[in-house]
Amino acid sequence: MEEPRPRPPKVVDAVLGVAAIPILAAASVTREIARAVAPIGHVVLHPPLIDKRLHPARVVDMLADRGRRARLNAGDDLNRLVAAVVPAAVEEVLNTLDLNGIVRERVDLDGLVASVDIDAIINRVDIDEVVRRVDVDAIVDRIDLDIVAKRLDVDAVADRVDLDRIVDRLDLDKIVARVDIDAVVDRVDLVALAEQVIDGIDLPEIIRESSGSMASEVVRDVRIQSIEADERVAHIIDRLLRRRRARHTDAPGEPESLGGGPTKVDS
Amino acid sequence: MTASIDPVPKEARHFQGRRAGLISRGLSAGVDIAVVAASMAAIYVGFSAVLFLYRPSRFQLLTPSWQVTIAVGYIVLTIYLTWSWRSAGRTYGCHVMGLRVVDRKGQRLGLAAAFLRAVLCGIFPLGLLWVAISRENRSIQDLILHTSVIYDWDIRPRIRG
Repeated sequence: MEEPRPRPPKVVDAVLGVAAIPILAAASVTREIARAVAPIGHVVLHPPLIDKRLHPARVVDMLADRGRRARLNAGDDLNRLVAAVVPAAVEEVLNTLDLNGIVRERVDLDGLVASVDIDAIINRVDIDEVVRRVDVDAIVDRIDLDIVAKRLDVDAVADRVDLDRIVDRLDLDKIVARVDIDAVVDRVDLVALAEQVIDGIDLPEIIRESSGSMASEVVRDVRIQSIEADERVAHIIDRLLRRRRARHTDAPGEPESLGGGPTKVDS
Repeated sequence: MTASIDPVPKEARHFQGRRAGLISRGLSAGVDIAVVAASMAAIYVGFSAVLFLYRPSRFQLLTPSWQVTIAVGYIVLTIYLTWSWRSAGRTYGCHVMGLRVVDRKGQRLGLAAAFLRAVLCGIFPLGLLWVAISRENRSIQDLILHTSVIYDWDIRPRIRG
């Protein structure tokens, strides 16, 4: 917003009017005198009967020409002087001035910005052209993906992923239809898998419980307890005899219960 | 497709093939003595039945002397042990307790070894007590004949599913 300039008092205008009167009068008199003297001056500068090369006007022209050259030379000198002095002076002046402060105080930035039609500017910008000029490959080359990956909170990303929705959109039937089940089965070691399962669920124990009689259970318990009793007796005797090393009870050969081959289950 | 099942319970697998201790072998011997006693009783009853059928009018119960009883018992025990160790590697007592008698190579005893071991067991049954003292769980008979009595639980028949 432009503020109205303060008007000077009328007294000042009156003084200026009074001062202008003699000046205007002198100018008028000078113009009249010049008009009256003009024929005389012409005769003086161009006297008749004298060769033109000797006319005072020629001398005046020569002087005028010299004066013009001097003026031009002086102008060049002045220009050089101005070129040398003005930048330094301006620099000094700018250094001493707080231009930011001046702008903040004197310029209505909000009003200035408000008067700018940003939409018009945006409409004049060819975004497609700008994007076309961007070298995306160069930008990607400058990106250190390792650092980006380190700063990435994968857990947070995973938390935001709606897996249920993704799974709902999957066509599992179609996926399963494309799986080569036979190839998968061929790659599975079913024997090893069965052994792991049998070992895990203790199938022999299940078979024993389902097919064994009360008598066989009693016999098994008696056998296990007798083994424990054997160990206990041997331990007591060894302590009494102050033996430090364990007994060597490994026998030659392989027991039928192990080496004779475990019971096979054919399926 | 065939999968293996170990018939031996987990807690007993570690001991399979190791020499048995005094308690297991003592219980096995007890069962064998009972078998021999039952056999002698059966022999007595059978022999008496034969006598009764042969001369019913003059029949009377036999009253053998203790020397005869011991001698017969010793013979029955020797035959029983020899036949069991030679044929199956185990007596009925060993079968109950999950034991087996093997030679120095881990094989079943030959006829001569089985007979000698049976004779020695009948002559000096207390030799079994040496199992408790021996570092290798061997009885006196085992030391003489280089035999071993090992834990070897019987194997169940093939199961088809």
